[in-house]
Amino acid sequence: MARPSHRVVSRRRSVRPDGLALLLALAAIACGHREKAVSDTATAGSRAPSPYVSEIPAWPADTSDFATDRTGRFPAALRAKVPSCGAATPVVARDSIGPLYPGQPLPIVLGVCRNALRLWHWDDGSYLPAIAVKLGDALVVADMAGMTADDVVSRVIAIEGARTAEGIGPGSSLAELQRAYGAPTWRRNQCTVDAAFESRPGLVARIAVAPSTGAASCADVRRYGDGNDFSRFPPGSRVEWIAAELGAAG
Amino acid sequence: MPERIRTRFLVVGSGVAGLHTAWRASEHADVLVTTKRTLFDSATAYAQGGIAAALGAGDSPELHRRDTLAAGAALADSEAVTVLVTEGPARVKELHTAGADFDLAPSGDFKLGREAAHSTNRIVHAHGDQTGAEVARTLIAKVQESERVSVLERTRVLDLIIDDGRCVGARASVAGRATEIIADATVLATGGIGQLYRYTTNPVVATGDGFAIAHRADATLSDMEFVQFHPTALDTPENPLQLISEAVRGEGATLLNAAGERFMTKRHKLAELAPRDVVARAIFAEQKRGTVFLDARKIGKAWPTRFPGIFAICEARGIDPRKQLIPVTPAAHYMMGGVVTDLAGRSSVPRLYACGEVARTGVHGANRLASNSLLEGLVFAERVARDMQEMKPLPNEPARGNWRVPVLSDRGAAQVAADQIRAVMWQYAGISRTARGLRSCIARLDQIEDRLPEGATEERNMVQTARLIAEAALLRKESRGGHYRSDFPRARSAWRGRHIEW
Repeated sequence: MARPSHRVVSRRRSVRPDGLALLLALAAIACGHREKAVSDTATAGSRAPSPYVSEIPAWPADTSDFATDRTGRFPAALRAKVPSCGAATPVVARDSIGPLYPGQPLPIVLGVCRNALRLWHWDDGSYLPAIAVKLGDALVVADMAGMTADDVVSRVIAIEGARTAEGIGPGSSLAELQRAYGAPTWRRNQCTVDAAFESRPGLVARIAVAPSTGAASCADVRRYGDGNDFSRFPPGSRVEWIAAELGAAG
Repeated sequence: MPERIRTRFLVVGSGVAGLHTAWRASEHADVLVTTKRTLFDSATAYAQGGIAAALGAGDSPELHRRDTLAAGAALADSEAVTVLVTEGPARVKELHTAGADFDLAPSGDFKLGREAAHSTNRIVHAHGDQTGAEVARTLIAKVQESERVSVLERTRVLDLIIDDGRCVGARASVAGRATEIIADATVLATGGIGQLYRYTTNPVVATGDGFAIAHRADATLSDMEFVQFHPTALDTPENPLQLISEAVRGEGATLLNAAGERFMTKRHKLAELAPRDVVARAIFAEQKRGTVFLDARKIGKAWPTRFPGIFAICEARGIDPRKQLIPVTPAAHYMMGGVVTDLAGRSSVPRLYACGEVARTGVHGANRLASNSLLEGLVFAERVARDMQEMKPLPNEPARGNWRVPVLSDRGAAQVAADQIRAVMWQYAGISRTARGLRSCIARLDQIEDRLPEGATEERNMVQTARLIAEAALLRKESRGGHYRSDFPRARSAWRGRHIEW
């Protein structure tokens, strides 16, 4: 048989499910995360059994009081609300940041950090439900796959103040990133670009492309987001944040 | 020279969709049904679930529609789902009138059961878990009593005959004889793809023929990456495998890994009652360390009365579930994608229709709601039968071809190839997929196809359909519904509402 040729289409009759249906669909999608094993046993294996919160409080309304701006950054008022969940600043591992890890069920997240701020985190064109905590000097956000007791953490992000064992964190230069982990695999999203690394499966770095002031300049991403060469990014481009994400190396 | 048969309508396949089409179309014209084995060999007869239809007090097509769309994970087709749920109740009642012995309540109304992800009781059963067999029995009786339906058993359709861009029939091997069947309209109702996987609940005839045949005829296919896996089939060397219903887990049975440890409690809050895809992936992961077992010993003496069918299945294989652990494995169960059709069942090729599992009507989206498959077969087969009545006869018959049925040169090599396809698909294009694994899978499929012996027509269909699945799974860089990529474990907004077409 000749090689199949394909096309990607959006059919006119294909629609999103309506309200209730969409929530159920999201829950079903979220179910797909739970069985993923946490791969970096160096940190995962040492965790003590977590407490478990059976009643999940309602998420706050999607308003500016409880949402990042549309570059994903924290306004000062929102930052002030983020509670502490431990005095030690964690090392960013490829499978976790402190007590938070991808695949972690929401009831356990809220058991570990009972006062965690529930908020809406802007990511590449949409707000995701998320929780935010301070761990020592680090501001850490865990993006959630949903808002129910069945949902899990899809990605744990060091927004600021935490670094990997190799010293990479928000603000690191692309040269430092490449020296630490080798050539990246680029993941170009709609208005963002991420770097993943074969040498560190699970670790993802969001790139802030200079001269934009945030990590979500659509024009810059379109301009520089292709290719596999750091040298194509303009000088001054840096790591916006670094995260542990399920299967990010793929 | 091949023989030639002329019929008004040709129906390829004898499951619920093929039989219903033949029955209803025969009320107006002559119909020829072909089937690879016998009328009784189809996935329909294996269906232990039921037929979902909004027949109960407090239920409505709208509620059924919402449940179906939710399961479809933003890829279901709203209009097709509306057709399914609004016309479904009439098809079920019609089948009941035709003689299907569905389970009834003392009041005489349908006794409606409930299944996962349905918001209310709406599942019609027959003799408990024998619904598919009862549907097949009823439709076979209707087809056999019709003087306008002819049946060719042990007939393999090799390819469609395309003339001037239209489908005018099929080339077939009728008991080994080369035969051209010329028809004004041709219906593909060839069923699913379970036999492309090492573990499946589908019968041995479910080798994905219709998908490959349609693809070679340039019909549009879509959503091929969406395959549904049932989490617990009885893990024996048989083919197909026997299902162990979720109801057993509902009674408190637990899943144990090779070390005898219960593992679902670490995977999901609902443990063994987590959604099917979660349980299936957890078992698949644990199988890397050895056999996974279902411990249902706590059901004890109640086994023979509570689950008589499953108890008999286990006993026949030397397993006493009252005292012993039951080995289980996930198994390929249903294909959501297929030949793209409109609401009348028409494919992209003029005069070619598709219905049943081989069709992609849009009702399932990325994941099928339980007990919607028999319903889809009934509803869209009815629509196909009605639409075909309007089909004008072929203006002229195509010239007779000069071809022979290829003779299988090495049956052993063909069987080895089929086993290799099943193994590689299970390993890399099954429950949990990655880009690396899928690329290996496609490369292996290419090698297998290159080495297929001459005349291995069924195995060629298998490898070609398998490749469509693997290629689509590689392209869809997200997880959604029945498609799980461990390297892209989240659904992505960029893929919402998007379909991969071939």
